[in-house]
Amino acid sequence: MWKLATIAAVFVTGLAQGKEEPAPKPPTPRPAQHAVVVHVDNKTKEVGDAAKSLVKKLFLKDLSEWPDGSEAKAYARDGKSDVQAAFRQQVLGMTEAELARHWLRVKSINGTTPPKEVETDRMVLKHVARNPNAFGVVTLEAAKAAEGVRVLFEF
Amino acid sequence: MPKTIALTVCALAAVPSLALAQDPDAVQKALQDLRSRVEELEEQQARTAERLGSRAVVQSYTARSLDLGGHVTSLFTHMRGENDSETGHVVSLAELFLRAQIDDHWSLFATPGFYTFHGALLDDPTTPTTGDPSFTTADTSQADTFLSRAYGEWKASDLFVVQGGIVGSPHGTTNREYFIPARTIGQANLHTRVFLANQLYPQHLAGARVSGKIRLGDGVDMLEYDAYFGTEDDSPSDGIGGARLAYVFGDLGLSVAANYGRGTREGLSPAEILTNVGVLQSPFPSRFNGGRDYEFVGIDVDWRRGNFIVKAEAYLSAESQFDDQRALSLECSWFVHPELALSYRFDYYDSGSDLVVVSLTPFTTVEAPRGLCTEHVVGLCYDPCPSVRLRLDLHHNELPNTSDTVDYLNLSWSLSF
Repeated sequence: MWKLATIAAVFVTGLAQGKEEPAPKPPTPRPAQHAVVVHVDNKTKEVGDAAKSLVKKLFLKDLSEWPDGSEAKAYARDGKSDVQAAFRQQVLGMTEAELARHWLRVKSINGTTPPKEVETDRMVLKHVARNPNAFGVVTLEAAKAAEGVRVLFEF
Repeated sequence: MPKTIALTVCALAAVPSLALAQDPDAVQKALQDLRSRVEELEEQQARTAERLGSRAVVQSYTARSLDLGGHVTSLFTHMRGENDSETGHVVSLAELFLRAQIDDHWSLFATPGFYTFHGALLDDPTTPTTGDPSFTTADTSQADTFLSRAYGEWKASDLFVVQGGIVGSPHGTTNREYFIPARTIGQANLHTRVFLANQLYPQHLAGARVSGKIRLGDGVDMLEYDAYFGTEDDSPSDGIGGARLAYVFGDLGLSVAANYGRGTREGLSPAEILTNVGVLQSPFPSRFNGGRDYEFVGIDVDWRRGNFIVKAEAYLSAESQFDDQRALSLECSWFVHPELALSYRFDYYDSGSDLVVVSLTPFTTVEAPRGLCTEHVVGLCYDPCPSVRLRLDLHHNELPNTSDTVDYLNLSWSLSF
């Protein structure tokens, strides 16, 4: 049996040197291109890393409420889009596979489902502007031109 | 009248000049913007129509949202025992997940399940030298049912959530997750191996559970609490209760939890004690022959960082007039590739003592050790897509109350949605 285990380990180690999704890179100093937007009346005071940590918990549904007690509603983007990839890597700090495993795991605890996916910046901004408790991620350019929302943080 | 005509002519003459006064570039840009919006809307409408087509959309009567999921899992095994080798089917189960959000505070969650099970008898003490290993028989046309979760929930806030009905216990890392498709190793660890049974701590109960999360300091770390009270299937009149308190290090992906619980294990009648022998050695009987009160304490550690998942739990129970139980489980998984994980698990389980039959006429029992069992597992799991998991696990099991070992290879898969 141990021979089999050894062969399996060697096989797997070989695979590990093959194609692998790159781990999330540490943040490098470059101009922000994306932003997390909230409703203009959202009273969250967190900024910087604290805001990122809060948004991460709310998006992953480890928490469900903003600090003022209102129910948070997250909007995701298409998993293959650049904006969602940037959010996943720079805010969630996770690979695509890790995120999939997270949703598989939390589904079992109480039936939690991932946030709904919205396809365009314009629709995210529309949803967030309509719902005082919503948040979503868009390009910084789109966020700056939008009405009814404010930028919680840029990344 | 001529004056009116003159004014009208002047107004009409002014219209083209007003249009010409607009910036043609701005008009073009506005037109382009409108075209792209229409394009987006048509694209979205096409996608929606593709998903729905002419099919009816499921609606709930009063719920604000309704989520339906589930999974199908099968496990086959090849056992190499002391006498022979056997290959066969162990279990197949289908479980539905149903969650309805009624309003901001109220929701319900239920997981009706169906399964067919062939007990894999690794080493049957009633046939110490021949006949091992073997399988119990089942009839797929009469699949059994189970209900591991069925509760209503009231949520005041993240700080305070109440569940009532059939709820999961918060103890143990794998048991807390419960969901089989999320496991990297198909079979549970030794002290939770008997599905949904209370070997050392309860895996689920009929009663109420209170839980909550408290953000600490700058909000990165959290404190989680759980407390429950209820009864078990085999003993609806004996109360059980327990609690869990966990500190979650947000930056590290680490949670450390302390656990406590107490309750009563229902004893079996003489006839039941005799039949309890028949489903034995997986590697322990599924129930205890001698009734007793118990108390347990334990520590859980769950660490998820990048491509690594480490889960550890250590529990100790005091079993009134019987010997204490001790359990340790350490499981490490390394996702060497986004779709492929290598896992190792070590289990140690000292199951304390119990009554054993020494004479049928007159029916006489004495207390004897149930024994100590250890197991090493090396597993491979492959996710061809996020909803499908294939597993191949090699188990090396040192059986209780004997120097025998048994090796078995489990092949299992889970498809979930």
